[in-house]
Amino acid sequence: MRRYLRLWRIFLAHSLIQDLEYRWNWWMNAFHTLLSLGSSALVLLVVFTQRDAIGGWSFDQALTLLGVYLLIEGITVVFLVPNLNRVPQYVRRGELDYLLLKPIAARFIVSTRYASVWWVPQLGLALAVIAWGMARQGTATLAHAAALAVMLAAAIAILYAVWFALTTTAFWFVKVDNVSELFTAFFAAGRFPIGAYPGWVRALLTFVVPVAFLTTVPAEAAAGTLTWGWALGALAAAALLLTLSQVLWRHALASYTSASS
Amino acid sequence: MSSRAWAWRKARALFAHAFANMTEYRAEIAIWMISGSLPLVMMAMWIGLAADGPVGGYAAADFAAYFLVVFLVRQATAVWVVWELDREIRLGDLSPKLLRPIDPLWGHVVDNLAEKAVRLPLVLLPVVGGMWWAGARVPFTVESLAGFALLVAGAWVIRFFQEYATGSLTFWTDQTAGLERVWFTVSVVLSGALAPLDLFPATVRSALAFTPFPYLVDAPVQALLGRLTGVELATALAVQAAWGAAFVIGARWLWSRGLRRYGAVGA
Repeated sequence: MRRYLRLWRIFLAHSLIQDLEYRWNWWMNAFHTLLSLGSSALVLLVVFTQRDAIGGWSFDQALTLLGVYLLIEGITVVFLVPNLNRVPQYVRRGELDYLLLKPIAARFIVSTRYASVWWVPQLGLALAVIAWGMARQGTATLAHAAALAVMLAAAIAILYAVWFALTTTAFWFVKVDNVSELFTAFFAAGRFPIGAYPGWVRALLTFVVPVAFLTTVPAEAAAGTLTWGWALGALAAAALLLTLSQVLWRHALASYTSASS
Repeated sequence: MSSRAWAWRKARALFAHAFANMTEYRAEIAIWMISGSLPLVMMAMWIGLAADGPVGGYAAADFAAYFLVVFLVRQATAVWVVWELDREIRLGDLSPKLLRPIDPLWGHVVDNLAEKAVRLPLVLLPVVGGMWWAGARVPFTVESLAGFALLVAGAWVIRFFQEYATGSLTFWTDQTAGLERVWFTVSVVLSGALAPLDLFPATVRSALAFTPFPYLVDAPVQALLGRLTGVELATALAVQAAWGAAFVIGARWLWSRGLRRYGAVGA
């Protein structure tokens, strides 16, 4: 376990050194995140000039949700995209063979080797928005922060499991570079509380594409409106999806015939 | 053969080649279509909001009609040439194109239009089906249809040449992707793709009237839905044409200046 943590630290340091070469990227990302936040906040303001609540959520609660959305989006771009978008390439070019030969779990190295560290400004800004939103709601307490942390951990686990399962399909379909686009399209619905959507959309976003657990549930923890049902559901979904993605990965490796000599 | 006949022959060859190429990418195009479905997500949200009554003059059916047409317009004006230019200039793939007797611009234009020929039939089905199911009312008048067609064409011109201009900046910088992302984020909200511009504060709306953004989505959508008519329609067409001309001229100027300092990489 300590070996894996040390390796991950080395991988991150490596990515950091590479990305520090391009200082301008960091400033661009900070600027872009501000614009992204501003434009989403503008849409929220337009909504709140017409209604007092969106899906039963107040402006502060909706803004906190937006912070969670930006955080999850940022984690996707920093940690998931650079790694998992390479899997089809590993499969196609047979580079996976060299990863399989290494004395550590192939899944680990596939998942953690790279990081787009220059998107970190988005993570920082997202956390700031969440903190500000919680302060505005009066829920900036240790208990709420702890609940938020646990639900965010579950959300990240679900996110990783789904992404990993989607990219594992590269073993069979090879050209799945755009599958992540599909996920991004559904994830866009996470900008708003799922209570804002019509009934069947809510069911879709909970049981088919688990977007509800990615943004709404952690935001509810931050707002103090999280019920035990949803909390346990999130943890169960995380455990289930992680297990399923691992099973799929094993199955894929078992049926993998190398492309290199 | 006259030079016009030659030009027509070249155009036909380019288009046939591009169309055959794009047809091979049917599955990818379907996925790219789905990745442009943010207007549909917004539609679900606004319909949910209008469940207990109209929001700012828009009932649930009006939101359905609005966002379905927004989806159609965004798909019909989808452009990606900035990423192509960024790659070509940085990696030197531009060099072989410069040896041909056709300006690289035409290859990009034809590629885009051929892709639309493959994409639009796929898009029209859910849009028309959705509008029928939602009970949307579209006045099929000559004014609304002609206005819609012209405004969509104008929106395409603006989007294409804005991306061509941004792509041409690659001759000077490698930050093109970042710049394009910034423009995209701003234009998506200010063009009315996330919320009808009617619902924006009046001061914001009047400030936007001088920018190209409302003419990318809001204007064509409102024209088709019969809410942009007469003098206002004519004004929208004029402003859009002015912005289109500005971007065309700007893009071509940047391109020709950039080409002069292009030192072929990997030629």
